[in-house]
Amino acid sequence: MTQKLPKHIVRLLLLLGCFLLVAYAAKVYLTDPSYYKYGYYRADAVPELAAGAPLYQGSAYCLECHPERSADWPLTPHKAVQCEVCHGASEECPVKEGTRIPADTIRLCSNCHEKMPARPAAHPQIVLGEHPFADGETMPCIECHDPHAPGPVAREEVTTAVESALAATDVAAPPGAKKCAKCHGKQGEGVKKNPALAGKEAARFIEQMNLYRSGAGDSKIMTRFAKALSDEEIAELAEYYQSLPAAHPRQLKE
Amino acid sequence: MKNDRKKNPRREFLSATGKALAGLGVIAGGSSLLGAATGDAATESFPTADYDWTKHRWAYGIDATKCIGCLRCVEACKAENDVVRDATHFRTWVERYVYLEGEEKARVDSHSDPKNIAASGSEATYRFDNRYQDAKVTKAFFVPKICNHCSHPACVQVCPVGATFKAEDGTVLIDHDYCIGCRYCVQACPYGARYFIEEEGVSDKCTWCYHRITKGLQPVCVDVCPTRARVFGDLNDDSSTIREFVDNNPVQVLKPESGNGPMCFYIGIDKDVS
Repeated sequence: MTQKLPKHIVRLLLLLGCFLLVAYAAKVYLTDPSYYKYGYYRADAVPELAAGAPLYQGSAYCLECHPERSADWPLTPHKAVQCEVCHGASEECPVKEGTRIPADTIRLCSNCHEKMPARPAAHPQIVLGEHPFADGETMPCIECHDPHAPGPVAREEVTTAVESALAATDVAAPPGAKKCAKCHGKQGEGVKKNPALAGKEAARFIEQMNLYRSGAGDSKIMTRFAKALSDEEIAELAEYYQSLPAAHPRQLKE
Repeated sequence: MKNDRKKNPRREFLSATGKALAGLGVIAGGSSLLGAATGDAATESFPTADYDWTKHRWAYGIDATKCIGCLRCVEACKAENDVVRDATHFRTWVERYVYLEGEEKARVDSHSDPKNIAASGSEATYRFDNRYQDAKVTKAFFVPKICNHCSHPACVQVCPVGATFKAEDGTVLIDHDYCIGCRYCVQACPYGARYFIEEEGVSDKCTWCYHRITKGLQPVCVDVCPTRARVFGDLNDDSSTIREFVDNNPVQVLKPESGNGPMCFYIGIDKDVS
């Protein structure tokens, strides 16, 4: 015995029905076909997200063209530092510009090596303004450190090791030789780009040191060391290194 | 009373609309089920030919004792993922926790701190300043942070349009085509891992570099970390670094009480870190 629905209610119901139909049709036609494939999301979004090209290629990619680096770099404390950390993303190198490190190496290196509370104590750090020179004068880090094979670790260690290892000759090692030995080798044999001193002609030695003292030399650190030395000290060093046996005849020409 | 109820027109109306709605609901439900069933049973690998997402369960590990706060991760992430180069848009970041003598609460700052922006020179480069070098510091450490790619992510739950979702391999992704920019997910994330791109009107987040991990690479923040403070890998693979990391260390997660089930595991963080 249902009572007939009033007209206005029927109209309302029809309207509601139409609205629902339109809404449902819209849902069906506007929803992406892949939407329910794996869940309540558009499955096609996943391959889209997976499609991008990597910018950072990893060190293995760099070493393909720079195999010379695989000799030193993997053995050094910087072995965990990927090429692109300092050189920037390789993208599609080999033609990429800007893979050179920034000119300001102090800023680059101190990003990791500036002494700072919160940095783990075992991590090598320097106090800017005290290293390399206590008076605050600065010098590009790469004058002394090779970023591909960094070190030495502790200056004190080096100094003691050098002292006991200075070559024994008839000429006593002058005190200044410890400083030279840090970069030019314990026996003055030369280390990497730092030339050998052993066997070097004394007159040539003095001439070059005087050049550095005048400020006309090409090395900032040598200028600094030379300026700190007196004529007598330079003469002593020159005599000492001349007395040492040259490791290789080629080095005599230097 | 009974008669009154039967003749009640409002009741009639409600019951009629109820039935109509139920009918429509059945149709709608049936067709959406149909839709779900028609999705092919996926014999080929998805999402790419070389990568089957059902075979992986990615997780992330962070050893805070190794972090030196160099922010190379932030730098690389921004470049790799084309993130807006300013202080407020980032997918990963590093927080510095410093306890000064006589203070109980840690002082926390990250790359978006004005002093750090000043030290780095601009909002597009990243560097911590050395403001505590002369302070009496009792304890200090860095904490790298990133989206936790939670097992039960709140951001996915609140998304009204299904734009953000949990993929089968454990990553929480976002579909910019479907995002309507309501920012519910930004609000919902207890870790502050999401950000909003004003220019595009969509939310964005870390994808663990989905375009890299699906090609067998590591996320870029893991790749560039010079101290290996960040590790990433597949929990399904017993020989993976993350398996080793999680199995052999006392690990903890951030805000476990939030119930999101975060998948970033930490070593060496203080109780104050959240």
